[in-house]
Amino acid sequence: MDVSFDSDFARCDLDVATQEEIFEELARPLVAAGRVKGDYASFVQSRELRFPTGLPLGEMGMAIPHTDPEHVIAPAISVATLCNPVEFHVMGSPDETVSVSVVFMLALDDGHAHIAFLQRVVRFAQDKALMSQLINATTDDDLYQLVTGSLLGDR
Amino acid sequence: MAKKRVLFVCATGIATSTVVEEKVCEYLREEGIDFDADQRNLGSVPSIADDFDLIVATTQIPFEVKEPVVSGLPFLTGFGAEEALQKIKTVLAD
Repeated sequence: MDVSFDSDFARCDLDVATQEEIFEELARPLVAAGRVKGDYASFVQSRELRFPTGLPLGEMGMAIPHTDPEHVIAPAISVATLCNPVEFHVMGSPDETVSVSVVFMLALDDGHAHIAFLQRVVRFAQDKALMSQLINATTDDDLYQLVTGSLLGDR
Repeated sequence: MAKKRVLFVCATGIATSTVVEEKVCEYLREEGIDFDADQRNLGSVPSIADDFDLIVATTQIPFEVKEPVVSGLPFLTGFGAEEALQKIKTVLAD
């Protein structure tokens, strides 16, 4: 998989109150590593307003914010678990909201391999045990290892 | 009876709609249901909706369409996938 996920792309227990702050925090390491263009967070935010990405997963919620491939330099993801859940609108049902505690910011381009990657993310999201481990991670490194092992490893 | 045609829609036409299409196609194949599938972005919907019998979408369809629209979200979250599949089967059997 050529989607990069460096150790500083994982943030555990991020203490923020708004979507805007989440996107800023998640985009920052991607910008610093040259994976996305400098204004990535603002494009993700405006896309989220038009096409929300909240996914209700029973007892918890996850979001997969992203934006158009033209803002991506090289494919990457950054992941955060939130100290306090933040409301996102539900994908396909923008009148509904979900309390999100896991955010996967996806910076994918158009390649077919990246659709395969998205399938992995979806399968990951449906794994209750894994989601639970993610939320219970206590350090950035724990989170990093969990995501690397399960999402990026050869399963 | 003409083969049913299913349209998969998401915002960009290439991301979540692909994932949903693969899951739905797999289910329907297992059930022995024959159909054609296509995938488009939201903007294409008004001009092509009438070529299809069913739309499965991971984005809201803010247009007037005659065809039934089923949310593809259950195929991403895993919640409600059985019910959504039943709905799809019912529409295609009609």
